[in-house]
Amino acid sequence: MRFKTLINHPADWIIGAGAQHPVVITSRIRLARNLRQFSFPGWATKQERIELLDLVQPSLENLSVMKEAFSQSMNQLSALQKQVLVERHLISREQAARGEGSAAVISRDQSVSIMVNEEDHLRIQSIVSGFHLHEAHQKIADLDQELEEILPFAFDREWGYLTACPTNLGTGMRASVMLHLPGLVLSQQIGQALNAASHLRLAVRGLYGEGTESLANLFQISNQSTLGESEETIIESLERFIKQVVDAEMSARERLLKEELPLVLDHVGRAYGILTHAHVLSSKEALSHLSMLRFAADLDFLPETAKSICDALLMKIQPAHLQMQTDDELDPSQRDHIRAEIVRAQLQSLGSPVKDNGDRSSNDPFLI
Amino acid sequence: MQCDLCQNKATVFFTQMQSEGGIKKTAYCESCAEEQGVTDPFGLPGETAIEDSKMQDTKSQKALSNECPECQFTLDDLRKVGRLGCSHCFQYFREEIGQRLLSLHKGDQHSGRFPQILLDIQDRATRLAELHQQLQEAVAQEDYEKAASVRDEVRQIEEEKEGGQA
Ligand SMILES: [Zn+2]
Ligand SMILES: [Zn+2]
Repeated sequence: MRFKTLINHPADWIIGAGAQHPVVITSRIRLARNLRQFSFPGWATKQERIELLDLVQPSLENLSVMKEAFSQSMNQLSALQKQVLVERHLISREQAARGEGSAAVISRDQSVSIMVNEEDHLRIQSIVSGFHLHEAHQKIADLDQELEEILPFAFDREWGYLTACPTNLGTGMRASVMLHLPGLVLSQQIGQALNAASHLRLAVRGLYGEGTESLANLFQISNQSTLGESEETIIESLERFIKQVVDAEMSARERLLKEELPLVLDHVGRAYGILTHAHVLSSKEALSHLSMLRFAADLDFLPETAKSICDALLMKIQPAHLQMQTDDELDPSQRDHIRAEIVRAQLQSLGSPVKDNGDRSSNDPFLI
Repeated sequence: MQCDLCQNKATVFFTQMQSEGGIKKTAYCESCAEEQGVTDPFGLPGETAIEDSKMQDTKSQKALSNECPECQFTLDDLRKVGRLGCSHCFQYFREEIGQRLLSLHKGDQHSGRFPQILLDIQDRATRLAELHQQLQEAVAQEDYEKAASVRDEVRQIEEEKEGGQA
């Protein structure tokens, strides 16, 4: 698959196709695997990395899920192309900084991606939309088994899969979900709701922001401990915590609607007004307003389709994706201009938000 | 590094895979190695031996004790970057790493997935042990027909084992 094909066909999880969850945007699992007889990428010579890549790349391309995959070594991609892959969460920032000897193999539907020679020899990832961690895990557990028959993975009976960094030992598995939490942020309960995470050895990270702050009210929560528990146990305890956060978010939304409806309508109305009329739109502004529009769709103030439009726009307005739209190098002010144009065009078909949109008679329009 | 058996400098090193799955490190001086009849790493008694040939021509003796012979990563490197050089480093720096695990993880014993190939080897080992037991019993009871059929099964499993390793 060529880069252009990949760009023109965003993954289901990017556009939020299929089952929509009002809070959990995506579920993601990644496995770290290494080959016994090679030094870890950070310590290996370039020659050794190339040797490993030459050895594993054909095996990866032969996996059933990798039929007609996108498979490129990092030095074959431009800085812009790599950045696009980063914005799509298909490769890491660290991988984008690498060159010859490192590669990305990405399934046609972009639900499975494998980084070769990142921090570990293999970083295998699957992403699905909605709250489906088990499904995401199953997808790569099969693949892992397929691979272990041909590649001698480094494994220790006591410490499990051996990884370059001891933080990934054991299962080598990181499970994470991306949550949209506008209700908790608006009602200033976000700190309290996520507080328990650290006791459970879960990491919380704001997306598009500094530390735990998030511009688009998007938060990523993942397990930190990978050793001492089975894959299922890790996933289940993350799930339990996420369910609590989802419940807290839903009751925050309910309370906001009951007690602070004017505030909510004001946020939503301003967001809609700016996004549909602005001609210069910074990324910061766009992210926070898009979050409000998605919120409005969750509350049924906007039709269901608004959700996938918002999710797709969150991707499209990022710098590298914007840059892909034009052939010229864009300076920041040109970027802000093009960003506004794209957002206006995409939202054109969308009417303005109204409370009790459509003829839903439910008293809990925000509950799906 | 010192010889495991005397005070001399160790110059011959072995890594032994053990049947329980652990790995045993052995270091001998030249003469002890001779005495033990292990100058040829593949001649080691018991399980498969992997020779650490690289270790024998490593420069300084001081570096030896703090260096992974497979990839030359040192304990200082580990302390500096918090990462390892290769999967063998986990044997050489086991103590240092082991001390940190409980601050990073909920436990220090893997309880997740095992590679199928290891499970197969384990299954075969268990089955072989059973069969040897049966064989002894059959011989003791002079049931040679039974003994022959058990022996056939042992042979079959051993062939599988070799096939799997090829
Ligand atoms: Zn000696
Ligand atoms: Zn090493």
